[in-house]
Amino acid sequence: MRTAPALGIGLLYQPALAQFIADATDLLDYVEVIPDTVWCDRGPAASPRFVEDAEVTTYLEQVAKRMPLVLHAIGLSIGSTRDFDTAYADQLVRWQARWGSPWTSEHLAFSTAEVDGAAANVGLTMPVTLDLATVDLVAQRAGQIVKRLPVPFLLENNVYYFDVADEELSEPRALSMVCERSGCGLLLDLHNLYVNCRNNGVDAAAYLAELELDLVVEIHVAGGMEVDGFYVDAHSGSPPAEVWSLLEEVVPQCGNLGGITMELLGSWFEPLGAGALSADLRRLRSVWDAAHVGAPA
Amino acid sequence: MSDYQQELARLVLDEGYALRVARDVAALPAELDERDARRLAAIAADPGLRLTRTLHRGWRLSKLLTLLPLTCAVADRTLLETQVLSFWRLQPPRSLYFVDEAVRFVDHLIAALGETEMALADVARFEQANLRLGDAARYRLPIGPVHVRLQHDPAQLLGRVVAGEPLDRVRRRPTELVGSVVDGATAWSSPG
Repeated sequence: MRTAPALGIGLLYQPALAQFIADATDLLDYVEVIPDTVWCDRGPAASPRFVEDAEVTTYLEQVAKRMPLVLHAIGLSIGSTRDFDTAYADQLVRWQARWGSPWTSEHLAFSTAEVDGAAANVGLTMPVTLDLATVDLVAQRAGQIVKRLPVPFLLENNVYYFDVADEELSEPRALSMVCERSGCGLLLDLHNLYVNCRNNGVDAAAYLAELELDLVVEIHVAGGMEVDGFYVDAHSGSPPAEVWSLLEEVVPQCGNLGGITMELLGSWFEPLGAGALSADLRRLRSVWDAAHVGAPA
Repeated sequence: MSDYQQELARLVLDEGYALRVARDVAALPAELDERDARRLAAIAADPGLRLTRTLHRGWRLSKLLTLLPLTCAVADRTLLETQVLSFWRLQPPRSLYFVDEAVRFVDHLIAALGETEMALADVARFEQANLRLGDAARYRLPIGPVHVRLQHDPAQLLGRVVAGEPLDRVRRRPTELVGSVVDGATAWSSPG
């Protein structure tokens, strides 16, 4: 796996957070961007296929003068059994070069599938089956991207609300195998893990004990909410206490960590408030500092 | 694995199909292998699938509400719900991006409206055109003039929409509006 710089604390960009990010110079070391929300993918048949939101691009150019932009994609559908979208991968590689992102990530998931004779987009990161065939498929595709990027390419552990029966591998084992075969790294989303613990009985301690933490380059934290008897990864506020505990436990064990990113949906910024978000970012900083004070640069 | 993903996507998109599979595994395609069929039958019966469908529908509906705020505000709730569900049954979501879907939904909605709902049709037509122009401006895409023919006085109609007032007394006055993108922003004029 390629090495990443140890940046510190980041925040996922949302339009509603633009002013907060502009003002939060002492709180942030980088900004994470979902490139799919800045470009519009007009589909494989369109030319040009990818067009950019001029206003957001101009804003990001200003941000990029102050701190690194990390790309976190949602449109690759790397676990889909449909043909690998090489044009999308090309676009991701181009954008990494354009913004000089210190690493780039996607989800271990699929979002597109054939329905009624054409690709349908479910709009969610659907869980792939944790089988050897899936590892083969994802590792081959991730490997193609790893070869083309000069920086780490990461896959994120997924969130899901139902179990898949008779899987051949645990999620940590599947992630390790994909990383080993492709050279990619991991984005450990601790809120996803917590959601899966709450809803599906995943044992967080056992999960983290099995996961190869030296592969983790980035950690995500977020808050969630109850919906219809489930705890949902809604990015709707401060991380719950359990996520803070997991974070404090795991950060010192991640020898190649580049950053910890807070995810907050823009529509929840006002209910949470700038003060509470700032406090969360400061708390992330204290966790980061506790693990990095005295560590070799 | 390919068949499995197709059927899992269908379980999320199509509630009726999921209910049939939950009741009887034979509702799944016969060509699925035994393990995939077992997995899908278990998922169909899992309350987590219902939540996944709720999240999917929330994602899809929120895009329509965001992109067509005037139409959604003016339309009768029951009518809107009926038309959204019938549109979804006919058209699976094809993209992460929803402008094309919102444009198609307006066509679907207008086709379903009766003579007494022409004011709503005008609002939807105007918002559809405005959406196309705004998208072209946002992404700097070429777009020619967009002509919209309305049955009602546009100033009075849109004024009442913004004020949250009923549309039943809006003056009928057939009008043509022309929208275009000028200096990166949408501009409207009336050729008359």
